[in-house]
This record gives sequence, structure tokens and C-alpha cells, in this order.
Amino acid sequence: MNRRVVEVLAGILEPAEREAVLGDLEETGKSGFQAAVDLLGLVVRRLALPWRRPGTWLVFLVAVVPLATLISISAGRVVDRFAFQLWKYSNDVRRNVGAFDLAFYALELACFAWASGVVIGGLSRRGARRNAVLLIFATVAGTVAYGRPFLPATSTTFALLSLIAELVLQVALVVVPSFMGVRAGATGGRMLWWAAELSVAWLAVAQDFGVPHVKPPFFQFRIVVLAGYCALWPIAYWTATRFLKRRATV
Amino acid sequence: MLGEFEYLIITAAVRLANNAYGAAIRQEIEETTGRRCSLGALYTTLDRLETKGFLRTWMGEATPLRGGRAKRMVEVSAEGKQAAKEFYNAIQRVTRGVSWEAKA
Repeated sequence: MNRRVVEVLAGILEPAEREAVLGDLEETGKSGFQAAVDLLGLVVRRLALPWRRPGTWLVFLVAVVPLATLISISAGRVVDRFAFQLWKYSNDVRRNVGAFDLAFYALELACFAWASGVVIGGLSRRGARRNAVLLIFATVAGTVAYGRPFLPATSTTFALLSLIAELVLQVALVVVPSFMGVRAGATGGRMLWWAAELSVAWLAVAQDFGVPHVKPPFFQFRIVVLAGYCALWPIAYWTATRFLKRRATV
Repeated sequence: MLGEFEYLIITAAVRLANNAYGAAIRQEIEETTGRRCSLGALYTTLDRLETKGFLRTWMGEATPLRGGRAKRMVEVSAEGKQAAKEFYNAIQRVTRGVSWEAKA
């Protein structure tokens, strides 16, 4: 157990430092709990180090927190809609109202999470891994805090199914796209970053986030919102450039 | 000027010469001062000293004693030795005329 903890903690360190530190622990015969405590001290110092730079706080406060808040509101809505669909199904309500909306918002959410990831990954390439974890953690925490709609509980199985579905949705529509976005942003060019920036701005305006009169009236028309999926073009651009690069190397 | 712990690391590394690396420096400090030297303090201070140009580190060879893992070797630069000398001189100057013997 303690050996596993040591391995997990060492995994947070840079490869060269991990090698030296694990070797030192092996040489001094420290193992188990003592080694884990020693390593924890180093890991905490390493994780705290970037927070002494103003740039880390700037990216966190100006990009990570606002984007995580917006994504979590968006994710909360998708989860609510999905819970409602599940409830309808479990109560044998056959009218297929809201299924299209659900698919629409799910796509929008995944795109939003991905584009936000690109923006954050491009802002700080060195801190991309840290910012990805912060973005995902803040978003998931925000979605949990968003609150659930009141739906009369039909059974324990339904409640359990809703919970599992929520977890799957969070992973599929928020965690995976955000993580992939940060990776793409950290390795992609400025063109991709600006495209993602515009995409995030578009998607942020396209959703009213519960604040009345914020969304411009023309956004009420679905066709305009759908046209907004030209905001998806950063993904298309990224996929195309990767495909072309792969073909060039073959 | 160097900090106390930075001075201890530089002195230990100079004393160990070609055998200066993480675990050896740590052991040297613990034995000579009788104080615990944490892994976190050691490695973050090594980084800081390297950034200041007071020492240079590189990955050495792997040994079976270390489970086949490489050492982080340390070599103190001329600037590092100069900084340690200035720290030592300052301690000597500030201590001049001071007696630590308890008065009866």
C-alpha cells in the first residue's frame, strides 16, 4: 500500500527528479510510510512553487475560474435535462420532448469544454497539466454545486441510474474534452488558440447562463445558434492539421 | 548572501567532492548538524542554487544499490564557493568578540 503511495507521489515529479529521488530513498533504505512522508514534502513544495509566480494566479483567476464556472453551469443544465429524460422514460412518458435539446446542449457543452481547454493550454504551456487538473476539478465541483431539479423519486434504481449517468456525462462531455483541449492548446499554434478564443466567446454569449437579457435577441433563433457551430471550426482545424501532419510523415 | 541551509549544502557538496549527490549530501548534513534534512528542502534548495549559478547538477550513473536508478550529481561552481566564503566570513565577523560560554 505504502509502496503504491510512493509510486503515485513520485509520478507527479519530473522524470529526472523522480529517478534521483527514488534512487536516494532506495539507497538510504527508506521505504513505506517514511518514504511516503519524505516524498510528500517534496511534492507539496514542487506543487506550491508555481504559485509564487503572479502569472500562475493570473491564468487561474482570469481564465480557469471564469471558464470553469461557465462550463459547470452548462454541464449542470445538460445533467438536468438528462435526468428529466431518464425520469420520463422511467415513468413511461412517451412524448419525445426535449431529446433534441439534450443532444444539442451536450454537443455544445463538449465543444465549450474543448475550446476552453485549448485557451487554457495555450495561455501557459508549462503549467498546462496543472491548469487542466484545476479546470476539470473546478468544473466538476461547480456542476455538483449547481443543484438538481426536483423530480419525484420513482425508485432507488432510478436514483442510482441518474447518478451513474451524471458521472458518465461529466467524464464524456467535460473531463475528456477539457483534457484533450488543454493538450491541443499546449502543442498547437497561435491560430488554433485564437480560433478557440473566438469559439469560447461565441459559446459564452450563445448561452444566457441564467442572467436575463444578456443574450442578444437574435440568439433566440435556433438557426443562428446552429450557425454558431462554425465555432466548432477550431476542432475541425485541429483535426485537419493533425491528419495532414500524419499523412506527411507516412 | 546565502541562507544558512544553502551554505550547509554547498559546504557538504564541496567536502564530498566527486561523490556529491542527493542522498550523500543529505547524510552529510544530518551527521554534521544532527538535524533532519528533508528531501523537499534539499531538492528545492539545490534547484535554487543551480538557478543562481552557485552549482551545477547532472544525472550520473545508475547503481544496483539504488535499484538501478541514476544519481543527481552536484558540483559547486567558483561563484558558489565565493558565496560560501562570504557567508562564512560574515558569520566570523558578526561573532567576533562574542562569547557563548554561560556566565556563572
